[in-house]
Amino acid sequence: MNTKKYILKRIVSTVATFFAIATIIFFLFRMVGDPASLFMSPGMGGEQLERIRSSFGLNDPLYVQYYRYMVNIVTLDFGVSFYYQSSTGPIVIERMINSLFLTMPAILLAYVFGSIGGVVMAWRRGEPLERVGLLGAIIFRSTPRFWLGIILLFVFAGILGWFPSFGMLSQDIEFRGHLALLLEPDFYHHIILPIASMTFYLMGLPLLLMRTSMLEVINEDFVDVCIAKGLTQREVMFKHVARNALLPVVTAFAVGIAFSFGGNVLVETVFSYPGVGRLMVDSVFRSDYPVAQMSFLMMAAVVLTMNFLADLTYFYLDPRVKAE
Amino acid sequence: MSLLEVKNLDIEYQTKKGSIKAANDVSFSIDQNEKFGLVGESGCGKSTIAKSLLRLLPDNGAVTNGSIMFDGTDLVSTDEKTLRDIRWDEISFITQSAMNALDPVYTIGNQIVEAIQTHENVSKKNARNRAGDLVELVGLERERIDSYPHQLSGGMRQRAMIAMALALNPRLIIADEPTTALDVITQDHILEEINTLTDTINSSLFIITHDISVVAETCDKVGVMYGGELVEVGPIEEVFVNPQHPYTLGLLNAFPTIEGGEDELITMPGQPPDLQDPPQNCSFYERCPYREERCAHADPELTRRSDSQYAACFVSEERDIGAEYESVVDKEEVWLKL
Amino acid sequence: MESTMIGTKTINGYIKRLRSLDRESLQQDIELRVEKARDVFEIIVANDLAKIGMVLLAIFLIVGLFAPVIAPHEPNERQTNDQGDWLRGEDPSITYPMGTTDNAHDIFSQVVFGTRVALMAGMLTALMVGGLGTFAGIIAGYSGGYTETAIMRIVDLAYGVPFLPFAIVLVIVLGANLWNIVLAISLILWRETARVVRSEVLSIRELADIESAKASGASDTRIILYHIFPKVLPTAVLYSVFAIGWAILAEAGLSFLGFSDHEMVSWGSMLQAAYNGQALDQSMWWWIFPPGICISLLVISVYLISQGIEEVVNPHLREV
Ligand SMILES: Nc1ncnc2c1ncn2[C@@H]1O[C@H](COP(=O)(O)OP(=O)(O)OP(=O)(O)O)[C@@H](O)[C@H]1O
Ligand code: SF4
Ligand SMILES: [Mg+2]
Repeated sequence: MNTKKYILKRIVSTVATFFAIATIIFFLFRMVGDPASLFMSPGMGGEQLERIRSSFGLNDPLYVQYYRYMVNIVTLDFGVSFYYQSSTGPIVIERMINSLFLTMPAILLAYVFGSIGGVVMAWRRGEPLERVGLLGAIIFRSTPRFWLGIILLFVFAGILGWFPSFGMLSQDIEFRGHLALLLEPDFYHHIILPIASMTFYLMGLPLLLMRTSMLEVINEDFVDVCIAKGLTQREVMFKHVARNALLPVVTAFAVGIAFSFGGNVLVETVFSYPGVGRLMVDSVFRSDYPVAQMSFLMMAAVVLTMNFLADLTYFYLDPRVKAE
Repeated sequence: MSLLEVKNLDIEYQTKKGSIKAANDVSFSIDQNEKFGLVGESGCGKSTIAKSLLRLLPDNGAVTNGSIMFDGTDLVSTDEKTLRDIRWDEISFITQSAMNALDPVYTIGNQIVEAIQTHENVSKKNARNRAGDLVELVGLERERIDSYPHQLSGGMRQRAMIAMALALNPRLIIADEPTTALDVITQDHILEEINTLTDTINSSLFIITHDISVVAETCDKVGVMYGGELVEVGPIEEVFVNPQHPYTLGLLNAFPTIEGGEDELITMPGQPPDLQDPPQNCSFYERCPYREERCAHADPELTRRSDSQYAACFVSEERDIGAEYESVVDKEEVWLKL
Repeated sequence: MESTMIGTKTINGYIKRLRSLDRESLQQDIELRVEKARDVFEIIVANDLAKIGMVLLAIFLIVGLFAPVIAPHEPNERQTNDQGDWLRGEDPSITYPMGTTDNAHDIFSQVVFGTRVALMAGMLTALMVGGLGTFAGIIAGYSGGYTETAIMRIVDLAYGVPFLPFAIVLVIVLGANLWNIVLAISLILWRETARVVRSEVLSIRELADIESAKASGASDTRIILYHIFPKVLPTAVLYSVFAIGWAILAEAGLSFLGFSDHEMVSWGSMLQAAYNGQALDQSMWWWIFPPGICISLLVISVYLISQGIEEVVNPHLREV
């Protein structure tokens, strides 16, 4: 299969999956009956309820609603937020980018260090270092990131006072767009703790996977040939064994993103960080249906995009896939 | 002086269930330009010996005694750096399975270039050119250097492997069952190729096989292994004409003669010795049709039989086991005719 | 008359022999299985880390089982002093080994009862994920064709869904209780099991004994039950055990966010209460540490065991 055809096929299936998820969400909310009542606060009168109904178009037949919903998705317009009283799109997208600023570095750090750690563990097979690494990886994976966040807050923000305890920026600094944010030292001061709590948790999986994968590859004949060629241990381990062992880790990377992206909600909550996960949970509690729905779909879109990119990387890394 | 001289080599594998003695007091030598064949049934320790020559034993395996002298250097004790310089530059290695011997994620050319550049200070372009020449030398098209291993058939892969083994004009090529995974016709071609190309670059060959006919076609000298021990070693003409160990005799009769066809195939009944608990007496005792009382109590040493033929057997020291062969086989009915 | 007698006799003898033969082969079969199980157990136990995991898990199981006996108080019972005042935010002491919350609950008792929720969430999810994932994986791998494509599309779909947000939506729609949390988690996690089991079935399908079973006319159900299922069992178990870990963490996360049954005290909801109850500002470390450490330890014990099971599934990992 040639590269273009493969990419095209993956794009089509990614988009199809997205719409399937969107459809599930659509029916999920309508399964329990009237979504308006789901988001109704105790104080709302019948009149208000009727207003929500008609603004949702909830009195229309289901297929009309579904059609409108799909149009909304395509045009990225989910109507006006109940809570913010403004268009949903910009709000969600801004929060989305905030989340990406948190997640991307955490995932990259976790997978880069995790993979390298896995290589070292396999290399030091049978030595105490491997044991320590194995135990460490398991502890990382088992510690809830929100709790680790709380502990980090407790120690480094509370007791030591080295870091701010909440938010993305200090109160006196104004948010002036995402580019400006990247140049703002105060922003980095704020995201170190949340990134740390995510990175530790995320690092467990690549550590273990890379080790397992390495131990499988090490037994292959070509490794003997590489050693026989006179390569140094380092060259054999990194250029050949790790290069082959990386393949399953790449797959895990995609899945890992999906997991961690959803799990952001927790870290964002602990650090009161204005991310999209937190936004979704808040909107759910505030009965802000348009925002909650779009937040969810945006997260799904990011997860799918990442899966797609990981697939492409895999395709690039493994010549055998190309041939099929 | 010989190019490679293996002396009193002991190799053990440590496992949870105890240690396995995969090579027991193995000694042999290979001269410049000589082709040495090592035969023996599966699990007798052939690959173990081949791997030990380049220090490729897995972590749980180790040489516990003996030396491997290669052109004045002891490969058992020398430091990593010296060993790395010798690897591939002087001794190259064709592994047992043609299928998995090449790294699946790099092209053939890349892997040959890597071998060249590890040992010689040449430009990438230059090395690539040489890789192309080598690939043509083994009968593949030049463009194949840009192929990935999975794009080649088994035979082509093994050819690429041979090309790589020749890349630095090594003085010794180790080939561990280079044709097992291939179909019969390709097997012949590949063997032929290894044979002539070794001559072309003036190299010695150490070839492992469990097929004694391969040795007959290719080698100058043969070593016969049984249960981790070398039980007979010597020049082809002598060993094949006048085998001095019952196991060699059995092997020679185990492959079908052309006239006899399949019917003549003889297999040896019984199990090879347990390497975890190697016997104190003759290791072939359990399956030997010539065995006598003394064989149950003592372990025969390799003794000289003719100019450069050695064998480890009490009985053949005194009698001509070849002449008794027919009667022994019929009388004892230990070796079955299929 | 006589001939019939002889006939019956012979037939009886024959049946008897058949029965004994059957019993013999059955016995052999059982012996074989027991032996295999013992091998598997030995591999797991030979792994020190797995052994530690088993001991840890056993402790949690005992605590969970005997929670009412072990816990000195009801988890939601207000602790008061002699004057009847609430004992808020007490430091750890002999009476309250882990202190009290700012709502005067005994933290130790809450931790003990929280064990039950975590264990239930973990085990129920493992059952569901193991069952659903293995079933889907076997069916997909064995039947091939459209069935396979359809199942694998659903698996792809499940991979595209953000895990925790989906669980939140589902819990809102269905109601916040442990069962729904387990259901929500399982609906996502089965994908991994299904994917791995399927790819294993694909290679098992090529094995000789499946071919010969088919050739001798065995039904699909029989082939699946007797030839395929036993072979994928270790993998299925491994992924179910992984699911226990995921589920405990996910349940804790959801409870921390407030999506849990408010009747039940869980470690996650304890942490939510601590976080919202200013435990951080008041440096009430005794409220923050115990629930988190328990979550970690329980999940660690599960992963330690899974690491031993992994050596059964993947021989490369065993140390020789
Ligand atoms: N890594 C290892 N750990 C433990 N035992 C091993 C290991 N590798 C080989 N052995 C044992 O050592 C003995 C010799 O193995 P070796 O691979 O050298 O045999 P071989 O003669 O090359 O057989 P084959 O013809 O099948 O390749 C065998 O009994 C084998 O079980
Ligand atoms: S020493 Fe005895 S047992 Fe051993 S090979 Fe010779 S005759 Fe056979
Ligand atoms: Mg071998």
